[in-house]
Amino acid sequence: MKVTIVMRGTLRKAFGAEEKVVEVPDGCTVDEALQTIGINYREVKNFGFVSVNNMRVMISDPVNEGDYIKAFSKVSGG
Amino acid sequence: MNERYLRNIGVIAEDEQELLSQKSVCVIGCGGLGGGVIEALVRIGVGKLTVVDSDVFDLTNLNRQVLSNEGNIGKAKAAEAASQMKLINSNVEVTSRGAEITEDNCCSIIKGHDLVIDAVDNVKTRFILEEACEKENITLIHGAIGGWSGQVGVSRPGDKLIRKIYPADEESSSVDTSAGNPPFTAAVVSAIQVAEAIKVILGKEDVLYNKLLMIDLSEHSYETIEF
Repeated sequence: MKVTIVMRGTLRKAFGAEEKVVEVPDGCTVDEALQTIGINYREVKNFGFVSVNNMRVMISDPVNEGDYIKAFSKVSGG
Repeated sequence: MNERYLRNIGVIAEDEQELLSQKSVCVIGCGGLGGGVIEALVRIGVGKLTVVDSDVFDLTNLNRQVLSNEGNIGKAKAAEAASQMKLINSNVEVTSRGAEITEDNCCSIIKGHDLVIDAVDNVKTRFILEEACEKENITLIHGAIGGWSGQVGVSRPGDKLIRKIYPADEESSSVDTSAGNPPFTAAVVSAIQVAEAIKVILGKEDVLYNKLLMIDLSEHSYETIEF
C-alpha cells in the first residue's frame, strides 16, 4: 500500500521538504514507514511527534492505504 | 465605558469588557512569549495578572523579548514586567513573583486564577504546570517556539495535552536554542495565545481545546492537529 510522508519544522531541513509517496507493507507502523525513507526517530535529536491525517498518533500505531503522515520537530522554547 | 477600551469593541462587547476586568490570569514566564502575552493582556484590560519568572534579563534577550531593553539587563524579568505594565494600564493589578516553578510551589502560585498561560522555555516545567492546573481546575494556554516554528494549544483539566505533545521521558529543564529564537515567531505565537485566552475567558467558540495549532513561518504553514 502507498502512504505519503512529509516533514515539518526543522525536520524539513534535515530530511527534505518535499512529500514522499512510499510503498509499505500491510500492517506497517508509522515507525516502519518512516524507516523506509531513512528516518529512525530514536536517532533524531529534535524529533517531536507524528500525525496521520492530522490526528496525533503514536509512533507504533499502524498506517493504512492512502494515509498522510506528518513528522513534526520538537518545539519547546519560550 | 472607559475610552481606552473603545477599540476593543467590535471584537469584545461592552459587557464582555466588564467581565474581562473581573478576571485574573497567571502568566508563567516573562521572556519571548511571556512579554508579548503580558503586554497584550494588560492592554486589552484583564483585571489582574500574576507574572512569574525567576530569571534576569541578559543581552541575548534583546532580539525578541519586548520587556527587555539596554537599561534593564541584569534586572529581574517579573519585577520589570510589573513596573512596565503600570505605565501602560494602571487599571490592571499586576503582581510579580520571582519564583522558579517547582512541583512544591506551582499549585500555590496558580491557585485562584481564572486562567494560566504557559510561556516557559522547557518541557519539564510544562509537565509541572499542566499537572498543577489539573489539580486546581484551571485551563492552561500552551505556547512554544523554536526557529521559524511555533505551536499553540489549550489544555483543559483532564486533556493532558502537554503529556501528549512531549515524550514521557522528556524531563530535561534545559533550554533548546539550536533552531534560534527570532522576534517574529515569539510575536505570532504570543498573540495567538492571547486570542485563545480571551476566547476561553469569554466563553467563545472555536478554541484550540485539546488541539495543537502548528505554525511554520518559513513556509506559511498553519495546521491544526487533533488529539
